[in-house]
Amino acid sequence: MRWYVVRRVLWAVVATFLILSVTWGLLAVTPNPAAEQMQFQAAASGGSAEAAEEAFEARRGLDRSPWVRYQEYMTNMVTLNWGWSQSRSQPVIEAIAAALPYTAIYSVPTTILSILLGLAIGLYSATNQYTKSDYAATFFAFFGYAIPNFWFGIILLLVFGVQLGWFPVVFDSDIPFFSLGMARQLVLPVVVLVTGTIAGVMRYSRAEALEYVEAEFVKTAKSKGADGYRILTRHILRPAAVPLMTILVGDILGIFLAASYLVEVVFGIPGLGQLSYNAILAQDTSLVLGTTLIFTFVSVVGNLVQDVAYTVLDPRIDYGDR
Amino acid sequence: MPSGNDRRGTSGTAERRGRRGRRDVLKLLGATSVAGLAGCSGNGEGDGGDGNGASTESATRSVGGTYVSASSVDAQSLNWLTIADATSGSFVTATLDGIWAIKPNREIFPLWGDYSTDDGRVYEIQLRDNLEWGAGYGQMTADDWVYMIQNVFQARPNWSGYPNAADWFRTNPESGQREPIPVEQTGELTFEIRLFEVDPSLPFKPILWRQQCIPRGILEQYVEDQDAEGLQQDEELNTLAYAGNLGPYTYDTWERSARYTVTRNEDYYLQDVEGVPDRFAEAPYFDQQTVRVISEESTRLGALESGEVDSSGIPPDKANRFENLPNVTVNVTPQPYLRMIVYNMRSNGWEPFRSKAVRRALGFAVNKESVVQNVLRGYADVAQTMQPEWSDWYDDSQVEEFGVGDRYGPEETRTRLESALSGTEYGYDGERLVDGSGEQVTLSIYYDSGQPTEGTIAEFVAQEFGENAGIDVQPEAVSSSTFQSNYVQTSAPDGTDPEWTAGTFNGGPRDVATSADSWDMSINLQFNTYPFTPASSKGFFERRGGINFYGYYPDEDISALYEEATATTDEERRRELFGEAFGLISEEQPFGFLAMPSSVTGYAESVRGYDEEFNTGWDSQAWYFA
Amino acid sequence: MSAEPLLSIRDLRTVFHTDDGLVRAVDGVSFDIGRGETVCIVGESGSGKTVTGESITRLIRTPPGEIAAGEIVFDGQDLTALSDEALRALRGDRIAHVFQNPQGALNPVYTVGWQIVEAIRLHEDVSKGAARDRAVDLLDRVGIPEATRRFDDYPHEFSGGMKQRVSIAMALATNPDLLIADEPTTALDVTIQNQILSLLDDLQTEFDMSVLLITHDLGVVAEVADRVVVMYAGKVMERGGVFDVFEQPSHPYTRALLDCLPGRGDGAASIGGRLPSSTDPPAGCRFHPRCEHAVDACREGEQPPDYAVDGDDDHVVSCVHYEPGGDPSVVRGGGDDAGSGDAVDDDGGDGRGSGAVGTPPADRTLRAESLGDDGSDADREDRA
Repeated sequence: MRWYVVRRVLWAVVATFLILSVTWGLLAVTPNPAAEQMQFQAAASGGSAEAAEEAFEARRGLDRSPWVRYQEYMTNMVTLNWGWSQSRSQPVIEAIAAALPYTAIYSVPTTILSILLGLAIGLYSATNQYTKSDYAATFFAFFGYAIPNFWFGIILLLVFGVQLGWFPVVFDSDIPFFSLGMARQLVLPVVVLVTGTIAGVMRYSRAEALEYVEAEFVKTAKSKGADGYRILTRHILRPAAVPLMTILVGDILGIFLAASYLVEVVFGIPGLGQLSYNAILAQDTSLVLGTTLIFTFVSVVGNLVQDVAYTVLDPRIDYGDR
Repeated sequence: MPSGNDRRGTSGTAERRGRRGRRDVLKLLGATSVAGLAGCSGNGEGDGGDGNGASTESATRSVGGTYVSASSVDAQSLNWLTIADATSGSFVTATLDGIWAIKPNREIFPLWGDYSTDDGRVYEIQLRDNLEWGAGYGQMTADDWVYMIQNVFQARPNWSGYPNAADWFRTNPESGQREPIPVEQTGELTFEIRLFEVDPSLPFKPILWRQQCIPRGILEQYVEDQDAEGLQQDEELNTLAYAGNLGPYTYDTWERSARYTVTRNEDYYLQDVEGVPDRFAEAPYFDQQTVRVISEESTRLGALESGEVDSSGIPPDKANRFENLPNVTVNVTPQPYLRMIVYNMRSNGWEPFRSKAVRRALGFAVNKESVVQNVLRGYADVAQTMQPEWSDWYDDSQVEEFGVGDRYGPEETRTRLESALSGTEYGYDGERLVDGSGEQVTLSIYYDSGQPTEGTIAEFVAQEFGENAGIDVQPEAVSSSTFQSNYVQTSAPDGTDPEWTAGTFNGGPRDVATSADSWDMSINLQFNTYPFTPASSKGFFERRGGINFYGYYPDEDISALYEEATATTDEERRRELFGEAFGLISEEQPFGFLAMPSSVTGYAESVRGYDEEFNTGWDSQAWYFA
Repeated sequence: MSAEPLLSIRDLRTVFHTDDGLVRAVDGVSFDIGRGETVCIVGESGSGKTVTGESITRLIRTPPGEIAAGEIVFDGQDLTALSDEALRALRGDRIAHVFQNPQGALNPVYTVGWQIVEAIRLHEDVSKGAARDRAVDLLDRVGIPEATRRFDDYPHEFSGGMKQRVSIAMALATNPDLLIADEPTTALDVTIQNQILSLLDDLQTEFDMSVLLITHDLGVVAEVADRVVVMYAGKVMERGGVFDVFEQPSHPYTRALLDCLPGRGDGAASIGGRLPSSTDPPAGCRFHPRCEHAVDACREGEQPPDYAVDGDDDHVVSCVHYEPGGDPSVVRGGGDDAGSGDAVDDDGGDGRGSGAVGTPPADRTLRAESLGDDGSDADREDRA
């Protein structure tokens, strides 16, 4: 088992390396719109497009050979010298360190809430199948799933922020993190995200739980005199947790990677999503690579945790010497 | 709804300003008292060109409040040596005034210094004597300027990557080469710029207008080793630590992608100088200014509506709603950017565009008033030539109008087009224009896929061409970067050697060099008409202009007019020549001029200081809360 | 049995509300279980025997299911009237269950020890250590070798027979008064079967409990039962002491069942026909469509009430031919067919022993054609 973890970690390193290289390669061959803009402006005002292009390249260090640039980036990555972000004019590490807390502050509550609520509703639905509340829960879940996040966010902002004034319209990054004011302005983004993700967790946990609700050992537990709550948590949830782990990790990653950008744009939260997207648009290589590394890291660690969690949760699974 | 023309408040034709003599300059710098000045030097009270900075105002302005503006994008860097985007520029300008500003009536307003010239070729720049750098770099002297220009701007190679380096080089007629413009220090606070040729518009060019400076003490560390990286990452440059008393505000914090805050500078130099209007005496009038970065438009507008920001840009289609809000004032200012249809006259375009008669005929096909009223919701002006109507250089006796009033319509278009195309294979088959084989003439028009308004204009043009000229036009969307690489960049085919080339956008003669993809018309780009420095648009109208990607060869020698105008210091003569040039341009119709959209900004009801003129922000340090 | 019965079921009716209609799984079942007794419910798949067993402690899922009528009196209390909470206190403490399928009956993610300890600690306030000791002891008692080490093993590390022993251990953890075992040996090898049965037997004595054994295997009945209840289509056809029923099978159904067994009657015969529809049962006696002795009276009205056989109130049968004034010989024929010479060991009430009733060890399956298939036959290994 230990060997397994070690091998997985090593593989994680290799995977990270590959991802970074591919990302760098893609960035290197993409034409740069900022460069084109400068050339055009220069020509339009009577200057020289070539001179502008040269100036641009000199500034970005793009006038050296690809191999040299590649080597330099990879060594820097390893030594945690992640470079200087052109588009933000600060070191990449600083940029990421500044943005990370803002993403965490809404994604952590979202994850916790979606998992807890999703599981709870899903289990409840499974044990009360086909009742009105089951249907209501399903409807609510699919409503949240089907509605586009960004649109929903805008609507909520308009209604609760602009019209009713209950919540601030613009995210204020000055407010201290663990204060009531911060919680207040996070309500809308978290609501938007939770409604989106809860459906998946809910339906999945409902389906898994259903499988186990009919299971014989549940009957055994009942015959032993266990009450409904105990049966639900100890005898249904616990075995169902194994397959549920698959989507939980996926969910966390999902929030981190995909949903975060949309919500951050609508609510103006200066988090990782915005950071990485703008970095890509500006073709800010160092920053793109830095943020890719973060996401890779989250993915890899997440998957490793998931695999390890499997063994812990389900004694039938044993990696042994695989 | 009022038409576009009514909404912009023109400040009327500016008074003629003679060139500045030395006497005026000295007075400006406090050598003699204000009372002795004659009225025409433009720095008195109650001047026609001053907008609402009227004499009684200063008593009612009080310092207080935080002014919050909304921006859709964040700045890239405060180190202005390395970037050239407008947002970064605006962040910097809040803390560093720059050498002088230009008032809406095209008058120079000295900030850090003033210029004087006798012949329009040699300019002497004089700095004020109370300018102090921050971070212990002492007083700002001419030495700082000359060092910066010679060792950074004009450095060969351009090791720092300064984006506007090329502006500091001009062609020396003696050698025929591009050489750095000679700059020399002539006194502690004075230095001279010695152009090779006369250029009266130099003070209005971006290389001097609001030009910033950096203490020699900082630059010295990097010049010798040509250390571009060091320069880029220098802490003081990135935090504007050197700003001292040189701007209305000082840098406070910059939370990337969130907010940028500056606080009131108690020591602001402009409070302490003679010869400026009273309202600057206590400037600035906000305790703090904050820019909040909000990339989502609905959120931005929502913030304006709820009062969480004090100003924000408003897209024309939403402006009506804001006009009706009691807590928001909508301000419309004209802009110098021109929307026009570019006709591709290269061999991969449509050949009849090369004929002036054809282009003039097509000028009758599109209803410009409709574009202004319906597509741009009235927040625009009709365009007839490469200058806005409110500019000094627009002579309406010379400019020919198309697409308005009775200079528009199907009959008018078809008769002219038919006669213009007589002798070619093209002709009318009933309503349709057909080519030699009887096929309907079909042309393409390209627009930016990220701009829905452009799409609407393109479709409108297509519709007009169809109805009025019998030409079937197909709108095509394309991204801006694709457009630039595949449609704007032109070059001769591999292997052939064109007889001349003028850069990546004008790769050679129009029959030889073309873009990668073929196209007939496009509205992707908006061009600056440079109302302060009209000579800058010369390249559009000459055969070998660096920007002439569409292959237009003028019938008349328009560039000669430009050159002549540039070479004379006689303001009146210049106006005549430019007026004639723009008149000729309207006659030749190299583009299908459409409109010049205005900028619509919403302000919180309590904000004062802005007006409905172009460049209304020139004195933004004097704005206040009522 | 003069003492109060431990469990007394009167006219139990359990129904299920399904989309196809009301399924009358248990339709008026009555019987008693005395203290220390082993009662077997015998019937084919679909007869309602499992539901009966689960109704006692209300293990059936109550949204579709419902105890519509009847009384279940356990040690003086009517279980049908008890609240859920009170019932839960009873379950696992005084009434325990063992189920048919050992593979599924144990939760795969907990150790067997944990599961037994859970059974204890749900009802008794003992320390974990004490509970653990008891659990190890139980495992040992049910015949798990190396019980201490095996305490920490997971269910998937045990064979089928072992798992069933574990289930039994779990059921016995709190010294219940009544053990309801639903086909405990059906899924096991024949050899293991015997072991389990004798284990149950020993434990019953040791723990002094009553056992309700549900089965379709007459051989099992013969081995362990004190009393027999024969069910068909949700109703009791015949019940009585095991000797009485086996020696004097009175109901046509019982007789047909016994006839199916090889070594009696025609050997591998089967009863023609199919189980009646559970939502729309036939009028009169449930068995009449397949009964060769059916008369008009059988086809009308309700299921015939229980009539005593030969004047013995303990042995009753639900058949019109046994009503006072009827003619039992229609069913029984002349003479007695008490298993031609298969004497039952009569050693003082303890009618156990291998090969009881004289049936050969092989093939004691009931092979009536049934509507449903409970699949249990698949696990059986026929000794060739």
